Amino acid sequence: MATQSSPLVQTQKTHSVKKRIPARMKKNWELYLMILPVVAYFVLFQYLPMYGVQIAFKDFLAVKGIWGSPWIGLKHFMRFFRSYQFPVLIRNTIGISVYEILVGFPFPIILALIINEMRNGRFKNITQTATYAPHFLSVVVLCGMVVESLSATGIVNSVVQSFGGTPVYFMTEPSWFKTIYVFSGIWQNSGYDSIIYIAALAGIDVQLYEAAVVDGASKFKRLIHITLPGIVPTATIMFILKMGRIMSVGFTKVFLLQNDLNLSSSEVISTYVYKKGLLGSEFSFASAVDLFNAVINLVLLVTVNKISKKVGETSLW
Amino acid sequence: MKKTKLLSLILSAAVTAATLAGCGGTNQSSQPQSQNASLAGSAGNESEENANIPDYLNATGFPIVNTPITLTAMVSQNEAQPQWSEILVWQEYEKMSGITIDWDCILSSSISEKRGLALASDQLPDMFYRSSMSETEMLKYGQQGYFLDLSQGMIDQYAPNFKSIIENFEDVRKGIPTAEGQIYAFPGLSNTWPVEVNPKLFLNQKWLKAVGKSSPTTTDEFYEVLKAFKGTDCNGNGKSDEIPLSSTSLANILRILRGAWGLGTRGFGNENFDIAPNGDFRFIPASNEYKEQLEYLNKLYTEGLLDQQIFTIDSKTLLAQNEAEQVGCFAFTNVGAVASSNASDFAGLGTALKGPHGDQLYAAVRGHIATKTGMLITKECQHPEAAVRWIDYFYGDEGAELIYAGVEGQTYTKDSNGRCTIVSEYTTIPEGSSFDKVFSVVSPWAGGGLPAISNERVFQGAEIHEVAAKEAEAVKQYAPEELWAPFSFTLDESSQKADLESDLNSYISQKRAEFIQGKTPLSEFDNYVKEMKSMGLDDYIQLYKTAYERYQKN
Amino acid sequence: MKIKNSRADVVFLSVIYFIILVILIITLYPLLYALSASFSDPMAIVDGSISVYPVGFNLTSYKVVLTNPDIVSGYLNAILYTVLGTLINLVMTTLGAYPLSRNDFMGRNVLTIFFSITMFFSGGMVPTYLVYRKLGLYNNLWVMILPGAVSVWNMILMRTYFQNSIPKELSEAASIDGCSETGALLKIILPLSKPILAVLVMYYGVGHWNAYFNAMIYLNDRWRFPLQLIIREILLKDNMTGMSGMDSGVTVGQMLLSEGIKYAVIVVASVPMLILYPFLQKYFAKGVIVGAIKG
Repeated sequence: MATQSSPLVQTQKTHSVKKRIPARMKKNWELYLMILPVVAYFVLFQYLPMYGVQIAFKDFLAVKGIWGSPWIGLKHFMRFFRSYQFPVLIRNTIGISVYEILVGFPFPIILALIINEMRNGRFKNITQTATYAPHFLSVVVLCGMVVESLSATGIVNSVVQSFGGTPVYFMTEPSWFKTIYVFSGIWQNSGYDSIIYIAALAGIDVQLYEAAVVDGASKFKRLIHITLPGIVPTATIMFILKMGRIMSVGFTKVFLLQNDLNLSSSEVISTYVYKKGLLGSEFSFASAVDLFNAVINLVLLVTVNKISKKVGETSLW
Repeated sequence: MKKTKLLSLILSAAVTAATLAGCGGTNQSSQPQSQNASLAGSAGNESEENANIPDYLNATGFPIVNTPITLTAMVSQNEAQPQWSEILVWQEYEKMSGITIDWDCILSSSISEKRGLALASDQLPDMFYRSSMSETEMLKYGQQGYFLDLSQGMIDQYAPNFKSIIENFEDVRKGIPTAEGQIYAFPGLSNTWPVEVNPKLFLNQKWLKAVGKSSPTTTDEFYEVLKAFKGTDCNGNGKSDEIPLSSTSLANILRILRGAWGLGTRGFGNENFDIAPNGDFRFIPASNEYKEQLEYLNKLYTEGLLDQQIFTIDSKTLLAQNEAEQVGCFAFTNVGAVASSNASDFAGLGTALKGPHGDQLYAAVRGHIATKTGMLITKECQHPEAAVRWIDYFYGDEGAELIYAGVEGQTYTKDSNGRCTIVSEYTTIPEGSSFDKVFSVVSPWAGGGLPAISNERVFQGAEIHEVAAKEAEAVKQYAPEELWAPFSFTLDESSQKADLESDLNSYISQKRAEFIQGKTPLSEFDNYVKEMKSMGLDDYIQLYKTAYERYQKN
Repeated sequence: MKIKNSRADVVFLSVIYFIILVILIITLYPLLYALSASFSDPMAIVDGSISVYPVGFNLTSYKVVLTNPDIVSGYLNAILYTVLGTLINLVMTTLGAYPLSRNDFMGRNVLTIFFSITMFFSGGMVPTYLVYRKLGLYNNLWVMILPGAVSVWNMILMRTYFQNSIPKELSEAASIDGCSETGALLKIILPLSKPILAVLVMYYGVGHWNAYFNAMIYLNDRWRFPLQLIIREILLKDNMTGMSGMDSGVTVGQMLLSEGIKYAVIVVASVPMLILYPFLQKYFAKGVIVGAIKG
């Protein structure tokens, strides 16, 4: 079943590591050559601008440039931490992300599994394209539709009322916000996110299925014992990567779904920084907040990666 | 990288010094001075300044320059507009003035980033024109030498129209200078009363007749009328879908009704502050009168008289409601933008509502300043005098006519009162277009905020249409005598203010919605005030008070 | 090869198909709405009278969209940036993912960390802007293609695919045959990687197609703008934070026009991507590996 390198092969390698280092590097010189342009890209386009991170610790004055602006240490960070809204921002940002991961993570996988079971090629293609299409509905239009359909006179409440219920003001109830945010995201992105899983499924050795059929396994059994394990490495990597983005709840969608009454649930870090920035070019402050987010994200990613390494075979590094 | 930075710094400094030196006037210090002195120009400097008029420039009259020059400008472009070089007004003005403007038209959805980057990376045009710049940006970069300080003689020498506006309009004179007395920008001004009354209250006359009531003059009568609207099938469709009172936002409702509790005695230039009847500097959202207003609105809401969607509503929804003839009364700056097929049903209330304590104030008014940051001249500009002369034209009658109405005979006709009416060529709208699109080929007005001064003769927006204009006129007598311009703050104060304000405003918006909706009972009002104090309310009030005292001295 | 279905299988399949039906309805309804809205009278959109079919059928919105020269040039630019950009993406990502997927590649962990850090830390808009300008990336084709040439996320996905979906026997067979690394990559690995390549085309392609931020910051000439940047203006104008007290400068006519255009523009902008996916779906077919092993 396994197509990954077996533990046995790994141990053999570790014994001879010390002797083989220079030799191995020489042998793999082509690989180093291959990866060179990629490294160059990252150095030029990503690492070079990183000197700008210091803005987070400075009082940026354009006339002095980034290097010349005065240091103020952790002042921006303190401003952020001491803000009255800080606990709310953290709670909402992380809350939304965790909710998204817990609830939203399985959907693309399940969708991929379901599509995988489809036999009729034509119907299968149509389903794939149909589920992937919502991704292209602009977030602006999506939010407009969401607000409209959840309004007192919208479609959802019409259905509720036809079942004899009383209308619920979804958009102005803080407790509904995260659900609305996450499920509209699931609707919009599951199809698109499922593509990588469909590809992973396509890479599973068909012979394994054939052997299982011969052994008399039902479709369901084949799903559990062959398909699922085949998708686990991809799912694990995706999970780790998503954990590394917990603090990064985007601005546009939240902003469009926000209103005065659901702020206690809908004010996140990105909308807060935006509103602060409205009063003028707060590059330093925004940079400090970004840095804060980045550190938290990194710590989370490294932690989850470590756990993943211990538990299974798949990990980022 | 460091060497080039140093070099460019030196160059910028040299250019700045050269520009400032060429400005005329010897007052280079930025110490706080009495405004009158710096604006009027102290007598001793005048002879020196006159001697400093650059050769390329004509001090008065047109053309402005003897040999044509080009100036670059960054401008925020409204979606209805073509490239600004194609706009008739600019083409005409170029012929008149001899100055060509190289417009860098930025889509309005990108202007914040583009402008911010231009400033932060020191890639500046000669001018920023209607670029949505915030006051803090203006101050921050102005004090770093990025913008020309117009108070140092530029206005005196080259901007006679603007100068006379400053002399005639108190709020402009007091409001424009920064906390330390600099003037970094030409503001967007209006002298169009119906535009300055925002919003107005429009009552559905058809419905009023249907319920057999007369137009309300007090808040109690208003309540009765709204109740009658709710209880009658005013639109005759057999459904109980009447919405007695609506608007495009909750903020509009609060602003238009607060005068009935005596709130807003200086207009909405500084939305949360005014002077209480006893002369105290008052923070409105913590006052007792505000609490009473919230109680009234809470009553309206719970009885279904205030649009249940008021917390999430927008102008499209109001328009839809009007299309379905569901609205009895709404608050907005005009009728034309939010009502189409039933627009003729509405007329202005005609008065300010009298509140429970006898207050009859119409507080939804501002002074002449629409935006402080209309046009700024940067340190890159080699011909700042020309730029000043160029913009000053639009602060006079002739220029206002040009920029808002176009070319007489070609795009508009003038009647005996001087009122400009657009010719039919531009008022017949082809399918798939709109008036804004059609007229944008003539005038750059779409999107508002032009660094110019509009007036009732030339302004073409829906505020000038009969119903809105009439209402504005009717409430004039109830408007505050003194209208505050938005106060100016120092950089430090701005930074503190920003911190406090983002927290406070969030909290205030949230709480007022909850009070009105009934989610939080008004018995919690004292706790709400206490909470604001723990957020730094007292410091916030003190910041504004200091700014106010400075304002008064101007 | 036909496999006979047992009773359990039939139940299983029915459940699957039922779920699919529900998914399709939930997915398609809002899209149908958007499509209908694009063919409707804008006033009908505003007052909510559209449910499934167009109300007040007219083509005005499409006429306005398709005759807008900015949209036409935006379309062409988007195609150019997407095709060129994706090509570069595929090459660069493969060059990065393949070495990283090899267990015997020394330093793979260090390099992975080196790359991953960029997912978290960045210099910020201003320093990046300054560096890119120095590199000559301003107001030209390259600034739309080179930044973002490699997405760490996608590179890791490709690496995972190489590690898990390519049988080890094959890469070993290659080295025995005396194949160079490049040869192995081109002749053996890549032909077996059609699914992941298709995924990358999708993810990068869509990424380019939807991209607007770099265009917004770095492009000055209107005729270089990609479609999304033009569209963004139309879609966001309602939500621009305005300053109260200013004359709005806009009438009902313009508001309605924008409402109608919104949907037409989305339909027009989505068409290429909606065509791309079915086109690539054959590469996601099962059994891609089988032939190679048997051969």
